[in-house]
Amino acid sequence: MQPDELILQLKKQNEVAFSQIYDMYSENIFGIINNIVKDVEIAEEVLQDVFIKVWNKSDSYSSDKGRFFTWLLNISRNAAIDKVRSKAYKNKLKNSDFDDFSFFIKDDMDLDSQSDGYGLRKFVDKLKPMCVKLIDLLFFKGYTQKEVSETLDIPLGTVKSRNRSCLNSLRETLG
Amino acid sequence: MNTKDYIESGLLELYVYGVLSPKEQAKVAQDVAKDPELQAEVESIETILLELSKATSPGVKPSLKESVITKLRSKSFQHKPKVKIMTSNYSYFGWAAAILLLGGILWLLKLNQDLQNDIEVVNSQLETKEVQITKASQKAETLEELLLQMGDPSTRKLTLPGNKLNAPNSSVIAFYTDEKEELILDISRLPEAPEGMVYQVWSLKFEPLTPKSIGLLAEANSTENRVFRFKNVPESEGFGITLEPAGGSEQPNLKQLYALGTI
Repeated sequence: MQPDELILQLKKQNEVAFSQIYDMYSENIFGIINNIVKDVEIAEEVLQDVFIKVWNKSDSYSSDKGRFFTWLLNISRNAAIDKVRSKAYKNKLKNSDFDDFSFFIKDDMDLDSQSDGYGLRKFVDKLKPMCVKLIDLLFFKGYTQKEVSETLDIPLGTVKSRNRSCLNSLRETLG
Repeated sequence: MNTKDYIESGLLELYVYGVLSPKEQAKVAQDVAKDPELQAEVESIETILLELSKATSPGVKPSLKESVITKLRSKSFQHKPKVKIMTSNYSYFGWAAAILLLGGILWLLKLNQDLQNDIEVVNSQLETKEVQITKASQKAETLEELLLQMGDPSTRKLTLPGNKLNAPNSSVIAFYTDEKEELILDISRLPEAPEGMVYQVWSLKFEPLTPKSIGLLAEANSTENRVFRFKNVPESEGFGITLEPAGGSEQPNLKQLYALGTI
């Protein structure tokens, strides 16, 4: 459910509403950002920038245009991509070790952490490799259908339906 | 397109991702608002995406929230006015003007320095001229005095012929004013005294011969070292000039007599 009342209060610059929205979405946004910048320290910087934008630009959100979560996603992905393109970022991370969100599981196994790959394993185990790539590009990275079709070399017309069936496999097992 | 087909198309997933064009996004938003079944499907998609994205989070540090809220409260983050740095042509004109002005100031300083130096040079030249003028006027005064004295009726002109041995072809002209006890000697025809020696003038009285030194021709007031003037000259019957060692002698060395004359 979308927290419509909180969003309304946020637009009125209500700090309590902002605090609640932060609590609701910060982990999701952090996951999205970290998947793009691939560095926790940098992701923390971007996360703060994103929530400052959420506060300053809450006026620009309208439910007529879409979901509040979608609005947050766009701000987060854009901020993270901007950071990746910045000089400071390029200086810090010369090259990345991983391609998509499933990397976090391998990382986690190596470290033998107590958590199960941030709870990610249960998702990735359900997904075919192509599904991991599709969801990574579309949801996490915000690629358009055309960009996904070119990157993964699959017909443009099938991107939508393939993505749905990938997501469905998650919904069936987890929902 | 019925609701089931709509759902099956996969458009709603992309709508929640936010990867459709703005036009498509708005269209789907409209459709969803009208249809509770689409609405429910969107909520369901969003739920799984929230779970998935949360699962990829390495965990947000609790301190970050406080940091964000502190930043919000600081005025600088609220509608921060954008300061545009002016880089128009005017600013270049400004720099150019500043540089020109600086150059002008430096040039004026240099000019001022040069003028100060010129003034110093001119001042020292002026001083030299003043000294020269003073000397010249003093000389003119002396000459005038000499001339007046020579023309005085009580002044007698004497010629002191050169001594045949030491200065055969020379002579000294003397002007003696006994009333004023003054003596003027013109020695322009005497040979120059050798180094370490000096001419000494003697007042003479005869029977018995009594010489009395009047002075040295190096020390007395002179005009160009040719015309000498002596004051407080004792009553004399004649004058003699001898060459003596520098500093003069008590008694004349008669072997070095150069000129001698009687009144």
